[in-house]
Amino acid sequence: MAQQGTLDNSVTVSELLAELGQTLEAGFSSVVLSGELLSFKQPASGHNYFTMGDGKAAIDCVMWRSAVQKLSFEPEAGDEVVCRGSVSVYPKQGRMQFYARSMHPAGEGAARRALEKLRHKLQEEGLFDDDRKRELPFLPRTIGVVTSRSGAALHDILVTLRRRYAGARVVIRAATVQGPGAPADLCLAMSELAEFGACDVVILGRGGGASEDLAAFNDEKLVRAVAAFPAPVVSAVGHETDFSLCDFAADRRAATPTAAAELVVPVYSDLLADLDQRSLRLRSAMQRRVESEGYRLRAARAGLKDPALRVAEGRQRSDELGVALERALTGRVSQAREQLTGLASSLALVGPGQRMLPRCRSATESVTVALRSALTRRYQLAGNALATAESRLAALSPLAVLERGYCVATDSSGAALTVASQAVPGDNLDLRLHRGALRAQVLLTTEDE
Amino acid sequence: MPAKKKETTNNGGPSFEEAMAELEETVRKLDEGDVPLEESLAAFEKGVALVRLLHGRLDAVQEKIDELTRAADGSLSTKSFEGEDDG
Repeated sequence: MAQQGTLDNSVTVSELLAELGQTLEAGFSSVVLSGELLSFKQPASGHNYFTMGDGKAAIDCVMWRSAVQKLSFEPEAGDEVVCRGSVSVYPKQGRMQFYARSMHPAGEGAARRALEKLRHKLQEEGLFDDDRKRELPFLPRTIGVVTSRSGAALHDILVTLRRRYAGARVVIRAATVQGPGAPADLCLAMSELAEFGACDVVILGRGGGASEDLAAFNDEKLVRAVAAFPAPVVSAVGHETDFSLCDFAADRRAATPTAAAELVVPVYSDLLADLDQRSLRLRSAMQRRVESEGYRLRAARAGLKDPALRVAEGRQRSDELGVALERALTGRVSQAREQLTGLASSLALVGPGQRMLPRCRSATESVTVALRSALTRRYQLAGNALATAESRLAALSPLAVLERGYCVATDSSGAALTVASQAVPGDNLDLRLHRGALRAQVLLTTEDE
Repeated sequence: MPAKKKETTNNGGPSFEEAMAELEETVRKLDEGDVPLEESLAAFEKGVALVRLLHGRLDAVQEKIDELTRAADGSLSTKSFEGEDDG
């Protein structure tokens, strides 16, 4: 070693710092550093500059913009944080610096504050609003499942689906649910299922665990992906006591993966029983309907009167009318006679010439005759009308007509034919005769001219 | 704020729930009895067809578990799920 400094064995400051830097980077390339943020600055460049300390020591730290953009919270001075990064030297000032690649809130309090801040922000945006919640499909044809390939959650979901209703197609997108890569992989899983498109509903879940293990489900991007998913999402993150922001954003929250599967499908045997019960009600309703129509038909038939009875009724009525007519006529004749007698006697009292009396008598006699014959004629006319009505009534009875050799022709729908054009050659007709019926085929139709 | 989405199915036709509701409505119509007999018959036939359709849906069920994967060329595809890893 020379007493005097010579250029031969010296190094420049730059060389020293470069070598120090390399040594530090080799030995401290991946450090997980915990401490309190003593100061925190975020200039316009987007890079973060801060100091971490623990009360006895402090170190300057840098976080480049690319890492800042991945931060899940907004750090402030005073926060307890955990950073992952490397140690190196900042040559311009010869300072040792910690280069943070990621930062998370440390300690229960800080983590909860950060989560609360994010929850508040998303709530303000309306992401958790009740009127965003969609109804789950009653019977999904395809169910998406995003969860860990290993673990009880997937097992519980598949077993529960199979136990209740094994009819749906299940599409699993296995994902990493904890650790640093989890949020990104879960987001990717959701976007792939959205792109796949066939799912009627999606279960997003994992088994229970320590609350920091649920951190991925509090990731802002994932929470937004859940809210924006095209089909309803059921979150099944953690157990009864654990909550995640995905739970708030999902359309339904289930306490466990098993409960999620129960929300998503009904029980097969219940469906079958419900369907059978409705089928039974359909049939009995139709049966009741047919029975009530049959009852109405029988009632209507009972209401139809026998034509013979109607003729008899008509005859009775005409007899009554005849008696009344005769009584009325007799009354009028005797009344007229009385008037005549009265007139004759008053004539006699007045004392007309004797030669007038025979003329008067003959006149009254001829009036009497005329009156009588007019009345007789009226009576005969009434009688004739009655007879005509009676015979028409009898003729209307289908039985009477058939007896005379007529028949009723009906087509296949049972309608009676009245015009030749109602049938065409080849039609089958039913002919109702006085006794029995014939099935006949039309050979020719002729219209009357 | 988006409106609540109606239940939809992926391959058209009425959903199970819609068909079930239609069946219920048909039964109710028949029960009321103030529709003409011809309409009753038509309603009954429709009801029977719905029951058949719904039974068909339930009978056709067959569990199918797939896994969604993205191939190297970027396309999404499903393959039969091999079963859960030990866990």
